[in-house]
Amino acid sequence: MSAHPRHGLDEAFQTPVRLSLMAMLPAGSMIDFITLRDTLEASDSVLSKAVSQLQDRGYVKVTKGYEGTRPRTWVESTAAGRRAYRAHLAALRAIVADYPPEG
Amino acid sequence: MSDAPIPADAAALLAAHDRTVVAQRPPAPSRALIRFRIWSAACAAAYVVTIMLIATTPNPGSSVNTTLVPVAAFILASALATETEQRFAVRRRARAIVPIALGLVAAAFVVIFWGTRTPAPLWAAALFGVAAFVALALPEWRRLRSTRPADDTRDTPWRNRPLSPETRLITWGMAAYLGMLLVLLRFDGGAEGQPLVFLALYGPLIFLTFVPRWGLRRLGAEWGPLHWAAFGVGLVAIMVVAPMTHAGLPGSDIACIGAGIAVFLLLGLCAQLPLRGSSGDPIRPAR
Repeated sequence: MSAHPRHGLDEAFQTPVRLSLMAMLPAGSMIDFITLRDTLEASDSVLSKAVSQLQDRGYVKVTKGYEGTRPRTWVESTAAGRRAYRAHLAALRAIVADYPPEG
Repeated sequence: MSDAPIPADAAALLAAHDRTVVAQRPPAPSRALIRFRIWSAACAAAYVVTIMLIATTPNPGSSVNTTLVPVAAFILASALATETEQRFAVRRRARAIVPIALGLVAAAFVVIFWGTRTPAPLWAAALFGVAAFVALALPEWRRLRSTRPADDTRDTPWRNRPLSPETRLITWGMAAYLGMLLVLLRFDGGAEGQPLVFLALYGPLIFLTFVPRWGLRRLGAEWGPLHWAAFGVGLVAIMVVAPMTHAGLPGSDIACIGAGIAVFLLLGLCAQLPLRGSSGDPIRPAR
């Protein structure tokens, strides 16, 4: 008997913000905090918390910098983060595979 | 996992994910950043050609500054490029494999010609420069073709605007530094004068790189195409005059001093442009 796909889910991506955040960070891309916030339509605090949680697990890397003298923050995914995200996405797709469509 | 989502929750999470992917596909850097990277590729290729020509041209009478000056100019341009990239909201990490491969090939080239005591032919160095430029710029060129104008809206528009007073002052300092580098190509202070040369070469560079309030950070954030063009002229002058001086070509003395003064005046003039009150919002002085 094969394991249920839910075992492949990663708790780090259980909120829409964290899941969507990873979707915006393909390999090699560094995106600044403001762009992430505006695209995800999240508040500073919600996004900041999501980034911290993913950072704690080693799924994203945060880089501080400056535009002139104004501080800026960039976020990028790590290889471990992308692996975990792909596995989580596959598990989600497996779970919904037999879900009947609307109507 | 104790609270695994039921299929409906999983479907909702996937829908949120797909909405994000559609809204941001692909998270591309702006075309201004890509053009800037092509400019940087040209700069790196020119630098490699310069160093190859200098390293393979034996000229015992020449000053050591013909090697040190291009190195200082390249460090300056690289540090400035790093600071400038911070003005862009979305960046792609450049792959290190191409610059490493180019560096190894250039080193082999230098060793071969240096070992055989024959100056590298200009055409061979130029050919390598073109190949280096293509290898570095081609990925960016492909990216440029796949980006859309909408990708540019995330960044502050890159256009000529009056510089803040502090940045004007730093730009004048940069003009003086580039001018001095050109003049230093002809300076030979002997063993006693060399510490002074090192101080003149690398002192301003260290100051500009490591003093945030008065450094390259401001230039990277505020310079427009006009200032970059003038800075590019200064770099080209160094990359052309350094091998000329190293080879002891006639007229190189005049070229060093003339180019030094011209570059100083050009970049200094550009520091004042566009004039305050001209079109374009003045840049808000950074705190």
